Amino acid sequence: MKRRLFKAVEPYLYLLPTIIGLLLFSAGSVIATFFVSFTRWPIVTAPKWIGLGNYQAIIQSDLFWRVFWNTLYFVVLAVPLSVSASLAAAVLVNRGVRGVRFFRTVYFLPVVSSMVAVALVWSYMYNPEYGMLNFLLSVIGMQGPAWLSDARWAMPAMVIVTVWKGLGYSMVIFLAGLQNIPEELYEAAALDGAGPSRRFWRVTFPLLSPTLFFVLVITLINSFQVFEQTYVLTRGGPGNATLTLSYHIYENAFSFFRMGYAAAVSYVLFAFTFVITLIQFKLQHRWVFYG
Amino acid sequence: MTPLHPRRNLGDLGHILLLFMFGIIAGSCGSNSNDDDGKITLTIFHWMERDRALWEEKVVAPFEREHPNIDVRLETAPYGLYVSKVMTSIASGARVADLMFAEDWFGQELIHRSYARNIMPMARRDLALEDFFQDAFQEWRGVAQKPDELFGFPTSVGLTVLFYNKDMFDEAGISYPDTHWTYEDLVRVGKQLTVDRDSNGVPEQWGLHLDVHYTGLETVIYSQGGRVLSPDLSRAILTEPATLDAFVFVKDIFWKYRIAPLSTSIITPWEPFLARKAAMNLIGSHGSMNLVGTDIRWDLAMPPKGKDGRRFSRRFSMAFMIPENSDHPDEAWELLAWILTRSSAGTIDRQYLGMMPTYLPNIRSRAWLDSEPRYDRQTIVALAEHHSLPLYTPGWQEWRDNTLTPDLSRFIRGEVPVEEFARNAEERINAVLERTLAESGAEP
Repeated sequence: MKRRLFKAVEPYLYLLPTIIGLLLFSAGSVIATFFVSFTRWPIVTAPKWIGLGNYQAIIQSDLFWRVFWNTLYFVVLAVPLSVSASLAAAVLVNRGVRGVRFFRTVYFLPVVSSMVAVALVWSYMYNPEYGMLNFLLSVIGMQGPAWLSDARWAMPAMVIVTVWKGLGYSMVIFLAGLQNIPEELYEAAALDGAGPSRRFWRVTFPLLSPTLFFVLVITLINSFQVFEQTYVLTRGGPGNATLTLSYHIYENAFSFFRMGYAAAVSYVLFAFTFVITLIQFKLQHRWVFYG
Repeated sequence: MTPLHPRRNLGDLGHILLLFMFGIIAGSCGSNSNDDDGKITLTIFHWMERDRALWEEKVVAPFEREHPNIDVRLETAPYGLYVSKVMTSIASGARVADLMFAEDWFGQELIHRSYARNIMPMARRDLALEDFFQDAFQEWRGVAQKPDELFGFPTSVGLTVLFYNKDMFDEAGISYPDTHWTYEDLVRVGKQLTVDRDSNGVPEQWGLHLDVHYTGLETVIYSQGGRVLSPDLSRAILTEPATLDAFVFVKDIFWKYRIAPLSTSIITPWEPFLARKAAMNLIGSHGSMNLVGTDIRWDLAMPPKGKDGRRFSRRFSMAFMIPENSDHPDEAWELLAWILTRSSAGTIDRQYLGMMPTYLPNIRSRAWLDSEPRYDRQTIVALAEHHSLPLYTPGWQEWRDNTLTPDLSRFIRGEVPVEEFARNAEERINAVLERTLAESGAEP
């Protein structure tokens, strides 16, 4: 009897450390942050309940809206570029050509590199006077911009780093999706006279749509949370042109000692990301084909 | 011999792992007090990880020898994570340390929120205060500026100075900057040292790099007769005519005189000077640690004289604070007094390179004046004593990062006229100041 009871409980005991960790460090933090968002809490002193004060401050803050649009601008640039570039890379490395394993590794290398190190190297490459990018542009007779200190170019510069860094991760997922598509379908399509483009849109794309949907959702969520690039490349500058929501939250919490306000912005970010993801799920039946 | 049963063995291993994990959890929940053997353990929290061995050897070990009842534990965090680590510790209700190091801007936040103990009574009791550079106490007295209050004891002060590359000056046959230099001289020599060899409009070498984000900016503004804060440091004042002229002068350095690169990132303000792309750098003296290990022949000079021959150099300081929740404030003070008066000049110099120790016997000693790297340390002392300008308020980081720096950046890039920039920035800085001061009910 005892042994049977232990057998029933045993799996949960193994899971317990993870469950405790999740409850304490994830669920606990999420709930605590919700309550903190209704307080004024400069960390050093006790939090003071101010109701919706932080949310009102957010709505009335010009800076918040600037940061919000910056983040949206980043997402609008980064998500399509990231998804299409990684899909293109996956299609390329899915071919049985020589050296394909080498290229798969090369594309994946940035994923396993530290974002901080990557961003630092890119900041040198972006240097307008002696960076590699502007040198290459000068070779073809073009004068490159001041990438990180020109308000028009700083955000695209951040997007380029993000796309480059994340390309390999999405590529591997797409690759797995591509390799699950039965070869006979391509053969049948070819026999029916479909060319490469038609085969891609009529065979590959529909069968890859669940993978594409997954990559889209993940990339979108990650893009809304962009932080390291801002921290290492621009610190939100020039002129707040690259200040994004996650960095704004970090600054307010740990540099400006406005933990309550930062918590409220966190929930606004969460709500917005949640709504966008929900819309994606609602619309998926129109284009995602689960076979 | 009993044959191995994979599932049973896996099960046993699982039980051992379970016990091990619960052990870890239980262990981590226990107290870590080290006072059981009758000894007191003091914790110092500092960001100077690279000097940890030096601290252990020159501070911790000799202090412990003299105080056998006290153990000193050194805890460090990288500079970039220091403030976050302190704040998360405070948020969790933990005691950060018995002695913690802080820059003046961070110190303001802690003082403003009554986190630090008033150490003035102990300082008056145990130290000859005339042996210290007392001007720097101002930053550590809090908004009320009461003479009998001191919430952090400054160990070192930094100043805005003009670094210069001797090789670039020698190659151009130009004399090094001296104490007679005015901002007109800075512009004149800056133009001479700005070189566009292929005439493509992008100089390969700039005369100057100007840090507009912090120390350099305020030094120029005040020298030009302008100001950023009211004399009692409670309000921003950016719209006075002299201040507007000073901001225009800053912009002219980049666009009219074209002697400094505008493209330098806020994150790497030393890059042009280190890459030998800028002959001079107007920036905080503590940055000299960037030059250690390079083969650049450099020295530093006073910032130029401004209008009416007045010279200003933005001062910043670092101090040790004793948190209110220290279990052993008296022993912590004993340790602090030891650090202040007994640390050797060489040790102090290694720890706070480019900064002036506040303990005056140290700055008069040959050991400090002749320390490596050699540079004009008397300049730092003279600047501190005669020209230093402290600018600090609670909320300083917020109004600088969220308002002054981005707004100034837009003005320098020509997106807004100077009046509009100054009016908007002043209004927004004052909103931050009002909110920050109101939060604690502090009156300036």
